[in-house]
Amino acid sequence: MNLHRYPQLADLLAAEYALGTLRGGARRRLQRYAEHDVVIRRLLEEWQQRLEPMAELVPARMPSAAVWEAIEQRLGIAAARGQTPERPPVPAQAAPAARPARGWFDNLAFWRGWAIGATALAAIAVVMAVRSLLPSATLAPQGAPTLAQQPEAEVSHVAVLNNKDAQPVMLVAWDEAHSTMTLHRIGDTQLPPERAMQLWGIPASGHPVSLGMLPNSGNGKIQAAQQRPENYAALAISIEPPGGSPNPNGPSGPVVFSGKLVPVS
Amino acid sequence: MTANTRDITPETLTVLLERVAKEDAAALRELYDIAAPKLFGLALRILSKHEWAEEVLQDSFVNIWRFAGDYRRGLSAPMTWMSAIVRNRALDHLRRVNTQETEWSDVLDDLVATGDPDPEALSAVSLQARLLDGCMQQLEAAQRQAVALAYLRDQSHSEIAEALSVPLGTVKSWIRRGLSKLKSCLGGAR
Repeated sequence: MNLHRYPQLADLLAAEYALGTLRGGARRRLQRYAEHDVVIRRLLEEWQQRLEPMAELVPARMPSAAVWEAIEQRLGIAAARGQTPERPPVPAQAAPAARPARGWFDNLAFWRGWAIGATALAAIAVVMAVRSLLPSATLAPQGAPTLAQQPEAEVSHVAVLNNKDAQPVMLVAWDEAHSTMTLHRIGDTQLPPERAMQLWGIPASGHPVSLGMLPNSGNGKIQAAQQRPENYAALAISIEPPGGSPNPNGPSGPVVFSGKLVPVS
Repeated sequence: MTANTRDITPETLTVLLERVAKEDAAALRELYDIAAPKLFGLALRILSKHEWAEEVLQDSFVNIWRFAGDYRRGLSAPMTWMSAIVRNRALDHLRRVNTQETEWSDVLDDLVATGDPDPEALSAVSLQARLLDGCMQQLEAAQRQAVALAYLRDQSHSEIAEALSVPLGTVKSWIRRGLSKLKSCLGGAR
């Protein structure tokens, strides 16, 4: 059959070829045509160009941090970066005493790879440095009028959120008993000015869950409501339109800070 | 720090791809930060399963690193080029696993939703995609759904008929009419 005599049919076949619904023998025949016939080939290419952008129309979702680390490992580009940030001095002797550090970063596959070297060590150091500050910070509200018999504030989990250069930016202290997260800025990294930022809980599997919008200064409290820290392996902060991500299942903007959420035993 | 999302244009991505072609690892990281959520959304849409989608995203970025030198700015927008890699990897994955395992659940509704696109999310999207989006929205819902299922999920006429519980002939005519409307809608803009 000479397809040129049936331009509409040729166009439809090309369209269904590009869409993927032309199958089997018909698909192979059209492919053979295209190999020898520049007009048919043009039709195919035009349709491919028309439909290709459809792949971009799908709503964005956040992959877990493990994906990037796996990419770095596979490409062997982690070492090539040469940008490992200066780590805060790690009080090596104090580490085992203060916390069973080994347990958590060996067990969680989540942060495997290069990042452990840079971020987890930095995280331990910062956690330990800031930990001494926490009781006063979390106890401070008790100076205000309190309900009788309010149990003592206690931090059950902490996360040090790093920027993408693995510099610590923020400490999140989660008080499970009071369903409160206290945010402390650390270091002198600037927060993106005048941008709404949203805190996310990243479960070991499944989509991120919004934990609320950040206070403007980056310091302050977020009510955790029904959220439980055990459900999350990490926390992350994304830049969002005012009011937060329109997507209930994850950030719509870039994730700027993230860090593992670890129990304080 | 992270680039202001409002400043992200196809040109930003093109420059990053060109740096990636020269094995600039920092550029790959920037590209990842900008494009990964969009590309992961695509992989997840095709595969439904989180682990599979993450595997495909990982593979895709390894491919982007390796083949960035093949990217030609005249031929396609950078986001289109990367999306094609992800779609191909994802469809390949789908063919290798038992497709019965995957569910096309809430995805259908999402895919055909025509709510206001988030302007920030759209900033990295190519002009061609925005035009296509506008044209897709002019299709009847059923046509749009059938066309999207075919392309994004690589489903056959009969698979779509089954998914949407309509006769095969209906699906064929939805797709035919949908494609023809798309062509005339896009035609003027090309």
